[in-house]
Amino acid sequence: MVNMERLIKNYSCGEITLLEIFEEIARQDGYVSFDKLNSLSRELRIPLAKLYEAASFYSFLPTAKQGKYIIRVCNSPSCYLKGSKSLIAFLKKELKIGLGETTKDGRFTLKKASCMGCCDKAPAMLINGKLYCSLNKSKVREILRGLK
Amino acid sequence: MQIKIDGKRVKFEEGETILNVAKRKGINIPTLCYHPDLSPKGKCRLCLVEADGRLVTSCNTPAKEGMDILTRSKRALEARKLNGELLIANGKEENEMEVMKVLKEIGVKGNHFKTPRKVTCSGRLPIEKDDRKCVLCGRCVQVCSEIQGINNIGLMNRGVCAEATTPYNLPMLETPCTFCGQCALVCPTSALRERALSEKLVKAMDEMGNMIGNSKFYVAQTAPSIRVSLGEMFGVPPGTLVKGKMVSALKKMGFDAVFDTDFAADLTIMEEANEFVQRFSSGKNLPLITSCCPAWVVMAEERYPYLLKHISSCKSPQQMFGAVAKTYYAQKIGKPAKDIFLVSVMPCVAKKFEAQRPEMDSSGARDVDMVLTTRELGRLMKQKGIDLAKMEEGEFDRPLGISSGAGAIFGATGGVMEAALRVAYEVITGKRLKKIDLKEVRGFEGIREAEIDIEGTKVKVAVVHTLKNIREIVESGRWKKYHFIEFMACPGGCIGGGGQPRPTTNEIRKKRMDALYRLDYKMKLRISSDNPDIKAIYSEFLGKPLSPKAEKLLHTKYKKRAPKYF
Amino acid sequence: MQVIEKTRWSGLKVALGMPKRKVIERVKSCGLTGRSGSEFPTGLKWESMAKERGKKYLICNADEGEPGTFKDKFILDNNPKILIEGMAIAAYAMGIREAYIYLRGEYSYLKKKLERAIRESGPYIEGAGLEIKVVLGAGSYLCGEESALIESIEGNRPIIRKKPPFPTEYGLYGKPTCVNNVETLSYIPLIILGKWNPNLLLFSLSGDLKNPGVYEIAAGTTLKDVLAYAKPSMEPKAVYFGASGGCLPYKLFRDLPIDAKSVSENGAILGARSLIVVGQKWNAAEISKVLSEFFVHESCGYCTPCREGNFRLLEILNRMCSGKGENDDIAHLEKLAPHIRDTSACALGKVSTAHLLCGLKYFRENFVELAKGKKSIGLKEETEKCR
Repeated sequence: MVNMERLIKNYSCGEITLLEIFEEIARQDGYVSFDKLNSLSRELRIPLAKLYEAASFYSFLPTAKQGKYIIRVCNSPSCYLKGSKSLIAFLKKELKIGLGETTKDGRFTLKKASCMGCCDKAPAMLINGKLYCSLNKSKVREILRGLK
Repeated sequence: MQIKIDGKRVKFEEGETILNVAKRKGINIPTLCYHPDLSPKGKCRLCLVEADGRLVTSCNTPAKEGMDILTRSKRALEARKLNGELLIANGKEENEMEVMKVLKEIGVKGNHFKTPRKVTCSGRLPIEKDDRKCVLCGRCVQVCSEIQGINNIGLMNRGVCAEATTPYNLPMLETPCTFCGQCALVCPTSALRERALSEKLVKAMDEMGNMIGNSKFYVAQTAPSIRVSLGEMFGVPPGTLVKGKMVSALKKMGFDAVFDTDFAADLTIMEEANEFVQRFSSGKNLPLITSCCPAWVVMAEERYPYLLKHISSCKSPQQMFGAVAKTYYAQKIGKPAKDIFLVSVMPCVAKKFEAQRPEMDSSGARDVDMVLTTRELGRLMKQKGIDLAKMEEGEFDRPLGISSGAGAIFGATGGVMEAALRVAYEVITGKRLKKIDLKEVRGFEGIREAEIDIEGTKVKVAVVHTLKNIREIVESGRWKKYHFIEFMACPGGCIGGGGQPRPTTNEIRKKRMDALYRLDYKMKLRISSDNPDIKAIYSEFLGKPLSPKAEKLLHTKYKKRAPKYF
Repeated sequence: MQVIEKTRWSGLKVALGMPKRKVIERVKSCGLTGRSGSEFPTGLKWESMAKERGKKYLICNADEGEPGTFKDKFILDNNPKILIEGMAIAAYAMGIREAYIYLRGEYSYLKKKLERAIRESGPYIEGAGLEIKVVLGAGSYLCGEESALIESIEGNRPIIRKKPPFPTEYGLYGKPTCVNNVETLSYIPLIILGKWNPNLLLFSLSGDLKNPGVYEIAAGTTLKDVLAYAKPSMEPKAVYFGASGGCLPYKLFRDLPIDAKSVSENGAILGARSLIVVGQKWNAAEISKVLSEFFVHESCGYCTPCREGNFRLLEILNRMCSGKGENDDIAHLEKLAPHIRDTSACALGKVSTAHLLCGLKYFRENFVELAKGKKSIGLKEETEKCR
């Protein structure tokens, strides 16, 4: 569980930045929840709207509950040239969801992502921060199977 | 220091932006996200000019020595036009909005883009938002932050998903919103506006003037601010008194009786001045803080429950009026309270919330049935083909139509304080006040303090406007220094309210304020206690100020509210 | 590759023995410029920082977000200590005691490695009196820009600040801040040791190639020579310089030296030296559509032309690529693209349409055939739900 008290204490003595608190919350809960952000707002006496303005800006800080595994498929040019389009179509079909949606069992959320610096091992995707590259359909199938 | 604008050499001061200089010289540059009371952001990019060959936003680019500026070059004009087209590509257009005026000026006719960017519309109470019209100018966010210090909303998300909304899109009632409506006031597209009137109310208004089968008796009350602002929607300069024309126009719309909220303001003063003297003599629960601003009341209920016992138990003039209209007046015309349909015209959005408060039914029916903002009334009149500017002068009806100058100045910041002190003087000393103009409490500074000498008794008063300044006075603890405080949520007081005609700037607010003070100055009747209709209502009906009957009808209670966040 | 040399802290040792002033002069005279694509003279930046009194910060910009760029990742993965050494020398020269490495969120798997490298460097960088902290980004291309990066660390909405003032005057928490790219800082130890070869440049090569990867290329090498190593998997059509640098046709560029000058002379920008090689089979409008999606996704939404303009560009390109092109489309594209470039509030907006401007210049026929509405790339119009 996120220890908000510890985080706030560390922030107050300059050991961590506000951005890191957002990230820690997102890392533990999968998203930046109202309750946690609000307690941050109360302790630091920063209006919630100001915190939310910052947190909601980032692709990696969802503000609503996501699936257990967030699949981010790179769709920038190098990966596109290597077939990210059909990979995304494949994932949509396998998971039976559209982009930005979550599977019924709450396991997977599918998103398109910007270049993740794996252009020489395209196409690539990130799942909860772990990088998978040089993908093809069978590799992806295997990866999904291994994720409970 | 000099720059060149459109070929002419112009002097400028350090820190002036290109737009500042152009305005000074009477050169018109279209703007949208710019507002004179807010810091310039350069978001809409409609104010583009060519400076030394580059396109820059004139609103936030500082003038620099030797700059060569072209405000109407072909390049600048075309750039403005394309940005204008991009802005309206999203949504619905309505003719009277500020954005349409600006776009017409720029020459935007239509757009060739297909899809609207956003398709949501959410009715939140009493302010609603139609995202289809939002151009993300950010003025609402700026006002809520820079002027009101509430920071309830922000520009959330990123890119085309950006939205000016509350965190997590929480509904208004769960937020620290006070319904002051300043956000709706500065919205150039009406994306933020007062909640649309319910079907029931629209039907009731449509039936007005229908004599057959309609047992309802339609009564209107108009706030002090309306008479110096409504005209602006009909081309009249701000600060022009349109009192008589307003009354005639309302009669033409079909109201059976048109009364003056200023009368109820006098009534409020009678109750509040006596309440003040009571507290002042006993020394308990001081300072007394005014209660007629519903946004301030909501703010106190949300943030400062410890102040609730300091707030005057007096209802606002709007609500006092409703209570007596449906009892005292209803009896006079032999109608039951439920057959009177009272429409209240207010410069305020929060008054809609106030009228709906469950406890506001001491008359046996809803004390106030419907609240129309100045904007809504102006629009309704136009729909019915009524041109306010061309109406003849009319008179308010009796017995709730006579008011003093003190009632009139309620619309200005400091007005309630001055009106109350004029009567408090008499109650404390038993003598008539000679110096009626209490200039110490007037003005436009956010926080004004004065020490009023009432025959040797020193009364420390403070007058504060904008929620930001109220927060300052309360949260610093300075509020404890005073005996009597007037708090108004809107800049300038009610004449600068969230329901007023657009545009409203501080310059326009001052003109409206001046008009009210001029009106007061010219009147023979300047002290609330001298008002014959007030004397009558007490002698015939209420008895005396703070009587049990007055307590029942004219006083109220407050309750703690708990927004989910701050 | 010079940047993966194991200097074993020799550069730092030499620098600590020099007066700070001399270190800065060395950096100035060697002509090092910012390797994030900015090409700003590093020595000049350091010089103005050194003059500032009071608390100052050094930030290593590891938010390598430009599509097609992965050279910084290569350095972080293979030789992080040279970066840390470079930061220590920089901190010493400018009198800075607190530094951050802003590591993009997509590289979060490198954080542990980086932190371990910092720990192991402890005894060495203590001599420079420096503390280094790794802060992760959270998925925003805009944070690669120095002032947005600073806003991001502060916990604010990370939009680009109005400049002036520049970060060297008013940066992190209002203090003077020097923001340098990973590669730039990594060369510093070599410069101090006199081993730096300014004519060897790091390039990220990707796309329709058999051997994509990070290449160290000598100045003056032509594209044709480089591709002899990179081995295109089909006849190349064009090279795109990241997402924001525009493109040049292979035929035109093949025999030119790959440097900023010859690229800009032909209307594109070399930037951070990312070359995305696009093969003959692709339609330039489709590539522009993919790039347009990128900019729409990454735009901060502050100003009208970039937010609305790029959205409308994508709308038109989407339609064109799904067989619903209209005759007016090219005229609209030609009107919007330069408009967005000229009236946007920040650098992202300014470069967001370079791909289209170059695409229309060099591959107009691709767009024309789609505008006729007869051809389709077989794409369906698709939208992703907004967060």
